[in-house]
Amino acid sequence: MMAEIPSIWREEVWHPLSVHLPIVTLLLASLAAIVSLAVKNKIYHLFLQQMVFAMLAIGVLSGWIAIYTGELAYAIEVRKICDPKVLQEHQWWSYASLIVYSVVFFLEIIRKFIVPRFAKAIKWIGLFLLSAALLGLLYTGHLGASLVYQQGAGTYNPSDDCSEFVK
Amino acid sequence: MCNFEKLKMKKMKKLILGLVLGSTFLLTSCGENKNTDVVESGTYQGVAEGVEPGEKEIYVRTSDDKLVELYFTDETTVMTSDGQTSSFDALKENGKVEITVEKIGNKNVPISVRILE
Repeated sequence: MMAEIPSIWREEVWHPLSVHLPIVTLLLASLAAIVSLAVKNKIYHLFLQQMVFAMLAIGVLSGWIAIYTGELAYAIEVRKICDPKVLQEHQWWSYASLIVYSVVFFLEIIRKFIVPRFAKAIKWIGLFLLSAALLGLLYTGHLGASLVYQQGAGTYNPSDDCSEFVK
Repeated sequence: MCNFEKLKMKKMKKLILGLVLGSTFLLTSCGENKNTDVVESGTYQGVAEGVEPGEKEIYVRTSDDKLVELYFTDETTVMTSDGQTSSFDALKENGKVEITVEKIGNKNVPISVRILE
């Protein structure tokens, strides 16, 4: 029987579809916060601060969507891959990183809109948390890559003769 | 500092403390963070410490104190103690079970689960 090419819209593929936006935006949020330390020019500094906030807003929101799609993929892939512990570690680090990014986002809202008094303290706490979360984000990405490129999570293995691709 | 500002500061401190405590709680509870073991292929008796119908998953504490995490597949069979075919829904938390598992890679795949009591 000839194999069929599976749909590109199958449930476990929603995760890679949704995960790259938060990776980029959260990474940029952390980098912008770190770079802003070295920038003396007030306009550039303000730009970077606004960038941190905007990237956090997009990253945190899309990040929780990626967590949701990740949970959907988990239920399917945990039964297919050879070492589910890597998947569980990936899941734990993704939650940990995103919770920290979410806390920084809420602190930024407090600093910007509610109590500007604590601006300096919140800024330093935020910078520390953004640096820590960046490490978590990178490690989560590393584990995600290991799942896909070492264990083939979410991927389809074509038949030896590629007959399903013949047109 | 006026009373209103003091009150606001108090609220802020509570909010930040809440955020820290809340996130610590989330961190400890999120994901699959149980310390599980992978056992050799074979048949084991133990207690179903956790039954998760949503994931079709059980945690079994074996008699030699290993915690085995089992994700049911379409081929996994569930039986009653007298050998009758049963379903996942019949599994109860803290119930005694006998599991037959296969070690594949770094995981255990359940072949069959027999409900002992």
